[in-house]
Amino acid sequence: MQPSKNELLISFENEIWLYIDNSLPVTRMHYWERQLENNIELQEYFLEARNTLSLYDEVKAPDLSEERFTNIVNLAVNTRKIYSNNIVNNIVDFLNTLFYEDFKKVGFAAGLVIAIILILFQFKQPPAPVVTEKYSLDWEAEAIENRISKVEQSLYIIKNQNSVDYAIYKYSKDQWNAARTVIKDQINSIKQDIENKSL
Amino acid sequence: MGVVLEKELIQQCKQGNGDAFGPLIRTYKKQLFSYLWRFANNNEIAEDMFQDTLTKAWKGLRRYQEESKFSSWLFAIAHNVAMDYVRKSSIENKYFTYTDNLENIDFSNPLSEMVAIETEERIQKAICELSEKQKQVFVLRQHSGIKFKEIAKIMKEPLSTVLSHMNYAIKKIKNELREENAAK
Repeated sequence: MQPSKNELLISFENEIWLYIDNSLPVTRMHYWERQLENNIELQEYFLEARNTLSLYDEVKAPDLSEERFTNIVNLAVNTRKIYSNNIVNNIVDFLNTLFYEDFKKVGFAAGLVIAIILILFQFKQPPAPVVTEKYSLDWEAEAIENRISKVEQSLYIIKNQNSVDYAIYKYSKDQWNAARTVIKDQINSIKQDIENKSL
Repeated sequence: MGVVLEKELIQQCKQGNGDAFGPLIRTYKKQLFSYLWRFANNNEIAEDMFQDTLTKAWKGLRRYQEESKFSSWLFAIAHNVAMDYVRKSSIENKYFTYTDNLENIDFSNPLSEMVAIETEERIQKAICELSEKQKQVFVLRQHSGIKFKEIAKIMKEPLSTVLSHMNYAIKKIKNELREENAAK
Protein backbone atom coordinates (compact mmCIF):
# COMPACT_ATOMS: atom_id res chain seq x y z
CA MET A 1 0.00 0.00 0.00
CA GLN A 2 1.36 3.37 -1.04
CA PRO A 3 1.60 6.06 1.68
CA SER A 4 -0.53 9.15 1.19
CA LYS A 5 1.21 12.39 0.22
CA ASN A 6 0.86 13.68 3.75
CA GLU A 7 2.33 10.52 5.25
CA LEU A 8 5.15 10.67 2.75
CA LEU A 9 5.94 14.26 3.70
CA ILE A 10 5.95 13.45 7.42
CA SER A 11 8.21 10.50 6.75
CA PHE A 12 10.53 12.70 4.69
CA GLU A 13 10.62 15.35 7.44
CA ASN A 14 11.91 12.66 9.78
CA GLU A 15 14.62 11.54 7.43
CA ILE A 16 15.58 14.60 5.41
CA TRP A 17 18.66 15.39 7.49
CA LEU A 18 19.94 11.86 7.36
CA TYR A 19 19.31 11.97 3.61
CA ILE A 20 21.32 15.19 3.32
CA ASP A 21 24.01 13.61 5.54
CA ASN A 22 24.05 10.54 3.31
CA SER A 23 23.61 8.52 6.50
CA LEU A 24 20.63 6.43 5.40
CA PRO A 25 20.96 2.88 4.09
CA VAL A 26 21.54 2.75 0.32
CA THR A 27 18.08 1.38 -0.42
CA ARG A 28 16.49 4.20 1.56
CA MET A 29 18.63 6.80 -0.18
CA HIS A 30 17.45 5.46 -3.54
CA TYR A 31 13.87 5.44 -2.33
CA TRP A 32 13.97 9.14 -1.47
CA GLU A 33 15.77 10.00 -4.70
CA ARG A 34 12.90 8.39 -6.63
CA GLN A 35 10.31 10.15 -4.49
CA LEU A 36 11.99 13.52 -4.96
CA GLU A 37 11.96 13.10 -8.71
CA ASN A 38 8.22 12.45 -8.76
CA ASN A 39 6.76 14.38 -5.86
CA ILE A 40 6.57 18.17 -6.21
CA GLU A 41 5.68 18.75 -2.54
CA LEU A 42 8.73 16.85 -1.42
CA GLN A 43 10.86 18.76 -3.89
CA GLU A 44 9.59 22.09 -2.51
CA TYR A 45 10.16 21.03 1.07
CA PHE A 46 13.66 19.84 0.27
CA LEU A 47 14.58 22.97 -1.68
CA GLU A 48 13.20 25.30 0.99
CA ALA A 49 15.27 23.59 3.63
CA ARG A 50 18.38 23.78 1.49
CA ASN A 51 17.76 27.40 0.57
CA THR A 52 17.39 28.36 4.22
CA LEU A 53 20.70 26.71 4.99
CA SER A 54 22.32 28.39 1.99
CA LEU A 55 21.02 31.77 3.09
CA TYR A 56 22.57 31.21 6.49
CA ASP A 57 25.86 30.15 4.88
CA GLU A 58 25.88 33.27 2.70
CA VAL A 59 25.97 35.49 5.73
CA LYS A 60 29.42 36.90 6.13
CA ALA A 61 30.89 34.74 8.83
CA PRO A 62 33.34 36.49 11.10
CA ASP A 63 36.89 35.22 10.99
CA LEU A 64 39.93 35.54 13.16
CA SER A 65 42.91 37.52 11.89
CA GLU A 66 46.00 35.50 11.06
CA GLU A 67 48.05 37.39 13.63
CA ARG A 68 45.54 36.73 16.40
CA PHE A 69 45.27 33.09 15.38
CA THR A 70 49.04 32.64 15.64
CA ASN A 71 49.06 34.32 19.05
CA ILE A 72 46.28 32.10 20.34
CA VAL A 73 47.96 28.93 19.05
CA ASN A 74 51.23 29.96 20.71
CA LEU A 75 49.44 30.72 23.94
CA ALA A 76 47.71 27.34 23.92
CA VAL A 77 50.95 25.47 23.25
CA ASN A 78 52.94 27.47 25.80
CA THR A 79 50.29 26.95 28.44
CA ARG A 80 50.91 23.27 27.90
CA LYS A 81 54.66 23.73 28.39
CA ILE A 82 54.16 25.54 31.66
CA TYR A 83 51.69 22.86 32.57
CA SER A 84 54.30 20.15 31.82
CA ASN A 85 56.72 21.68 34.28
CA ASN A 86 54.28 21.47 37.12
CA ILE A 87 54.56 18.07 38.79
CA VAL A 88 51.21 18.34 40.56
CA ASN A 89 49.46 19.26 37.34
CA ASN A 90 51.20 16.40 35.59
CA ILE A 91 49.82 14.00 38.17
CA VAL A 92 46.36 15.52 37.72
CA ASP A 93 46.79 15.18 33.97
CA PHE A 94 47.88 11.57 34.37
CA LEU A 95 44.85 10.82 36.53
CA ASN A 96 42.63 12.55 34.02
CA THR A 97 44.12 10.38 31.30
CA LEU A 98 43.70 7.29 33.43
CA PHE A 99 40.09 7.99 34.19
CA TYR A 100 39.21 9.27 30.75
CA GLU A 101 36.40 7.57 28.83
CA ASP A 102 37.02 3.78 28.94
CA PHE A 103 39.21 4.07 31.99
CA LYS A 104 36.65 6.19 33.75
CA LYS A 105 34.33 3.26 34.37
CA VAL A 106 37.18 0.88 35.25
CA GLY A 107 38.72 3.47 37.53
CA PHE A 108 35.44 4.15 39.23
CA ALA A 109 34.81 0.41 39.74
CA ALA A 110 38.33 -0.10 41.08
CA GLY A 111 37.91 2.83 43.44
CA LEU A 112 34.62 1.43 44.63
CA VAL A 113 36.17 -2.02 45.27
CA ILE A 114 39.07 -0.47 47.19
CA ALA A 115 36.63 1.57 49.27
CA ILE A 116 34.57 -1.54 50.06
CA ILE A 117 37.69 -3.53 51.02
CA LEU A 118 38.83 -0.74 53.29
CA ILE A 119 35.42 -0.54 54.95
CA LEU A 120 35.28 -4.33 55.41
CA PHE A 121 38.82 -4.35 56.74
CA GLN A 122 37.77 -1.80 59.32
CA PHE A 123 34.85 -4.01 60.37
CA LYS A 124 36.90 -7.22 60.46
CA GLN A 125 39.63 -5.77 62.59
CA PRO A 126 39.41 -6.92 66.22
CA PRO A 127 38.58 -4.21 68.63
CA ALA A 128 41.61 -2.40 69.85
CA PRO A 129 42.92 -4.06 73.05
CA VAL A 130 41.97 -2.23 76.22
CA VAL A 131 45.22 -1.36 77.88
CA THR A 132 44.78 -1.96 81.55
CA GLU A 133 47.35 -1.00 84.06
CA LYS A 134 48.92 -3.96 85.71
CA TYR A 135 48.38 -2.74 89.22
CA SER A 136 44.62 -2.67 88.90
CA LEU A 137 44.60 -6.34 87.88
CA ASP A 138 47.27 -7.35 90.36
CA TRP A 139 44.66 -7.81 93.03
CA GLU A 140 45.78 -11.06 94.69
CA ALA A 141 42.20 -11.66 95.63
CA GLU A 142 42.71 -15.07 97.22
CA ALA A 143 45.33 -13.88 99.65
CA ILE A 144 43.34 -10.86 100.68
CA GLU A 145 40.19 -12.93 101.01
CA ASN A 146 42.06 -15.29 103.32
CA ARG A 147 43.23 -12.43 105.40
CA ILE A 148 39.73 -10.93 105.60
CA SER A 149 38.41 -14.32 106.51
CA LYS A 150 40.91 -14.59 109.34
CA VAL A 151 39.87 -11.17 110.64
CA GLU A 152 36.21 -12.17 110.44
CA GLN A 153 36.94 -15.33 112.36
CA SER A 154 38.83 -13.39 114.99
CA LEU A 155 35.99 -10.88 115.30
CA TYR A 156 33.51 -13.70 115.51
CA ILE A 157 35.48 -15.25 118.33
CA ILE A 158 35.69 -11.96 120.16
CA LYS A 159 31.95 -11.31 119.76
CA ASN A 160 31.06 -14.72 120.91
CA GLN A 161 30.93 -14.63 124.73
CA ASN A 162 31.70 -18.29 125.13
CA SER A 163 34.71 -17.90 123.02
CA VAL A 164 35.78 -14.89 125.06
CA ASP A 165 35.34 -16.87 128.27
CA TYR A 166 37.29 -19.70 126.73
CA ALA A 167 39.97 -17.35 125.57
CA ILE A 168 40.20 -15.72 128.99
CA TYR A 169 40.42 -19.10 130.45
CA LYS A 170 43.01 -20.25 127.96
CA TYR A 171 44.99 -17.10 127.48
CA SER A 172 46.40 -14.72 129.95
CA LYS A 173 45.49 -11.04 129.73
CA ASP A 174 48.72 -10.33 127.91
CA GLN A 175 48.08 -13.07 125.45
CA TRP A 176 44.59 -11.69 124.88
CA ASN A 177 45.94 -8.23 124.28
CA ALA A 178 48.59 -9.65 121.99
CA ALA A 179 45.89 -11.47 120.04
CA ARG A 180 43.88 -8.25 119.79
CA THR A 181 46.93 -6.37 118.55
CA VAL A 182 47.54 -8.98 115.90
CA ILE A 183 43.96 -8.64 114.71
CA LYS A 184 44.23 -4.89 114.69
CA ASP A 185 47.48 -5.05 112.75
CA GLN A 186 45.90 -7.39 110.24
CA ILE A 187 42.99 -4.97 109.71
CA ASN A 188 45.34 -2.04 109.27
CA SER A 189 47.48 -4.05 106.91
CA ILE A 190 44.45 -4.88 104.75
CA LYS A 191 43.33 -1.24 104.81
CA GLN A 192 46.75 -0.15 103.71
CA ASP A 193 46.84 -2.66 100.88
CA ILE A 194 43.42 -1.63 99.64
CA GLU A 195 44.42 2.02 99.65
CA ASN A 196 47.53 1.21 97.63
CA LYS A 197 45.61 -0.62 94.91
CA SER A 198 44.05 1.96 92.68
CA LEU A 199 41.39 0.80 90.25
CA MET B 1 44.06 19.00 4.32
CA GLY B 2 44.36 15.31 3.57
CA VAL B 3 43.51 12.69 6.13
CA VAL B 4 47.07 11.36 6.11
CA LEU B 5 48.57 14.78 6.74
CA GLU B 6 46.07 15.44 9.50
CA LYS B 7 46.97 12.15 11.20
CA GLU B 8 50.65 12.98 10.89
CA LEU B 9 50.10 16.40 12.49
CA ILE B 10 48.06 14.82 15.28
CA GLN B 11 50.88 12.36 15.98
CA GLN B 12 53.41 15.18 16.10
CA CYS B 13 51.22 17.14 18.49
CA LYS B 14 50.81 14.09 20.69
CA GLN B 15 54.59 13.88 20.86
CA GLY B 16 54.65 17.48 22.09
CA ASN B 17 55.55 19.26 18.86
CA GLY B 18 53.81 22.59 19.26
CA ASP B 19 54.72 23.66 15.73
CA ALA B 20 52.31 21.08 14.34
CA PHE B 21 49.35 22.46 16.27
CA GLY B 22 48.83 25.62 14.18
CA PRO B 23 48.65 23.80 10.82
CA LEU B 24 46.37 21.17 12.36
CA ILE B 25 43.89 23.77 13.62
CA ARG B 26 44.13 26.14 10.66
CA THR B 27 41.83 23.93 8.57
CA TYR B 28 39.02 24.47 11.08
CA LYS B 29 39.91 28.03 12.10
CA LYS B 30 37.11 29.83 10.28
CA GLN B 31 34.43 27.24 11.04
CA LEU B 32 35.42 27.09 14.68
CA PHE B 33 35.62 30.81 15.19
CA SER B 34 32.32 31.56 13.45
CA TYR B 35 30.66 28.78 15.46
CA LEU B 36 31.86 30.30 18.73
CA TRP B 37 31.02 33.77 17.51
CA ARG B 38 27.37 32.69 17.12
CA PHE B 39 27.26 32.10 20.85
CA ALA B 40 29.30 35.12 21.86
CA ASN B 41 27.96 37.59 19.30
CA ASN B 42 31.05 39.56 20.09
CA ASN B 43 34.59 39.30 18.71
CA GLU B 44 36.36 39.66 22.01
CA ILE B 45 34.36 36.97 23.78
CA ALA B 46 34.57 34.72 20.71
CA GLU B 47 38.35 35.08 20.76
CA ASP B 48 38.45 34.14 24.44
CA MET B 49 36.31 31.11 23.74
CA PHE B 50 38.50 30.22 20.77
CA GLN B 51 41.59 30.40 22.94
CA ASP B 52 39.92 28.32 25.63
CA THR B 53 38.99 25.71 23.02
CA LEU B 54 42.52 25.55 21.63
CA THR B 55 44.09 25.31 25.08
CA LYS B 56 41.80 22.44 25.99
CA ALA B 57 42.38 20.76 22.63
CA TRP B 58 46.17 20.96 23.03
CA LYS B 59 46.05 19.63 26.57
CA GLY B 60 43.64 16.86 25.61
CA LEU B 61 45.29 15.74 22.38
CA ARG B 62 47.07 12.87 24.09
CA ARG B 63 43.65 11.47 24.98
CA TYR B 64 42.25 11.88 21.48
CA GLN B 65 41.37 8.51 20.04
CA GLU B 66 41.67 8.46 16.31
CA GLU B 67 38.63 6.28 15.72
CA SER B 68 36.53 9.45 15.87
CA LYS B 69 36.95 12.27 13.38
CA PHE B 70 39.24 15.04 14.55
CA SER B 71 36.71 17.70 13.53
CA SER B 72 34.02 16.04 15.69
CA TRP B 73 36.39 15.86 18.63
CA LEU B 74 37.44 19.49 18.19
CA PHE B 75 33.87 20.74 17.89
CA ALA B 76 32.85 18.69 20.92
CA ILE B 77 35.41 20.70 22.92
CA ALA B 78 34.19 23.95 21.35
CA HIS B 79 30.61 22.97 22.14
CA ASN B 80 31.48 22.43 25.81
CA VAL B 81 33.28 25.77 25.92
CA ALA B 82 30.27 27.44 24.31
CA MET B 83 27.87 25.78 26.74
CA ASP B 84 29.99 26.94 29.68
CA TYR B 85 29.71 30.42 28.27
CA VAL B 86 25.96 30.05 27.78
CA ARG B 87 25.52 28.93 31.38
CA LYS B 88 27.50 31.91 32.65
CA SER B 89 26.02 34.44 30.29
CA SER B 90 22.43 33.31 30.73
CA ILE B 91 22.59 34.93 34.14
CA GLU B 92 23.63 38.15 32.47
CA ASN B 93 21.06 37.59 29.70
CA LYS B 94 23.60 38.00 26.93
CA TYR B 95 23.09 34.73 25.10
CA PHE B 96 22.20 35.22 21.46
CA THR B 97 21.10 38.76 21.94
CA TYR B 98 20.06 40.64 18.89
CA THR B 99 22.58 43.28 17.97
CA ASP B 100 22.69 46.08 15.49
CA ASN B 101 25.59 45.50 13.10
CA LEU B 102 25.48 48.88 11.37
CA GLU B 103 28.75 49.83 12.92
CA ASN B 104 30.44 47.04 10.94
CA ILE B 105 29.48 48.35 7.52
CA ASP B 106 32.28 48.63 5.00
CA PHE B 107 31.50 52.03 3.41
CA SER B 108 33.69 51.32 0.38
CA ASN B 109 30.82 49.18 -0.95
CA PRO B 110 27.88 50.30 1.13
CA LEU B 111 25.01 48.76 -0.85
CA SER B 112 26.25 45.16 -0.84
CA GLU B 113 27.37 45.58 2.73
CA MET B 114 23.94 46.84 3.74
CA VAL B 115 22.25 43.87 2.06
CA ALA B 116 24.63 41.43 3.71
CA ILE B 117 24.12 42.99 7.10
CA GLU B 118 20.37 43.06 6.64
CA THR B 119 20.37 39.35 5.83
CA GLU B 120 22.64 38.71 8.77
CA GLU B 121 20.30 40.60 11.06
CA ARG B 122 17.30 38.69 9.81
CA ILE B 123 19.09 35.41 10.36
CA GLN B 124 20.29 36.55 13.75
CA LYS B 125 16.78 37.60 14.73
CA ALA B 126 15.43 34.24 13.52
CA ILE B 127 18.03 32.38 15.57
CA CYS B 128 17.07 34.43 18.62
CA GLU B 129 13.58 32.98 18.33
CA LEU B 130 14.81 29.38 18.56
CA SER B 131 14.86 27.37 21.75
CA GLU B 132 18.29 26.77 23.25
CA LYS B 133 18.55 23.19 22.00
CA GLN B 134 17.34 24.13 18.55
CA LYS B 135 20.01 26.83 18.35
CA GLN B 136 22.68 24.42 19.50
CA VAL B 137 21.81 21.80 16.89
CA PHE B 138 21.40 24.30 14.07
CA VAL B 139 24.57 26.27 14.76
CA LEU B 140 26.70 23.21 15.42
CA ARG B 141 25.53 21.60 12.20
CA GLN B 142 25.95 24.70 10.08
CA HIS B 143 29.40 25.64 11.28
CA SER B 144 31.04 22.29 11.89
CA GLY B 145 29.46 20.40 9.02
CA ILE B 146 29.63 17.24 11.11
CA LYS B 147 26.91 14.65 10.71
CA PHE B 148 23.83 14.52 12.88
CA LYS B 149 24.86 11.21 14.42
CA GLU B 150 28.02 12.92 15.71
CA ILE B 151 26.03 15.95 16.87
CA ALA B 152 23.79 13.61 18.86
CA LYS B 153 26.88 12.18 20.56
CA ILE B 154 28.32 15.62 21.30
CA MET B 155 25.04 16.87 22.72
CA LYS B 156 24.36 13.56 24.49
CA GLU B 157 20.86 13.51 22.99
CA PRO B 158 19.07 10.78 21.02
CA LEU B 159 19.45 11.15 17.26
CA SER B 160 15.68 11.46 16.81
CA THR B 161 15.61 14.39 19.25
CA VAL B 162 18.46 16.13 17.44
CA LEU B 163 16.71 15.70 14.07
CA SER B 164 13.51 17.02 15.56
CA HIS B 165 15.34 20.11 16.89
CA MET B 166 16.80 20.69 13.44
CA ASN B 167 13.37 20.41 11.80
CA TYR B 168 11.86 22.92 14.19
CA ALA B 169 14.83 25.25 13.78
CA ILE B 170 14.56 25.26 9.99
CA LYS B 171 10.81 25.79 10.12
CA LYS B 172 11.11 28.71 12.50
CA ILE B 173 13.90 30.35 10.53
CA LYS B 174 11.97 29.88 7.29
CA ASN B 175 8.85 31.41 8.81
CA GLU B 176 10.79 34.29 10.29
CA LEU B 177 12.37 35.08 6.93
CA ARG B 178 8.99 34.81 5.18
CA GLU B 179 7.39 37.22 7.66
CA GLU B 180 10.22 39.65 7.14
CA ASN B 181 9.80 39.45 3.37
CA ALA B 182 6.03 39.82 3.64
CA ALA B 183 6.39 42.91 5.80
CA LYS B 184 8.54 44.62 3.15
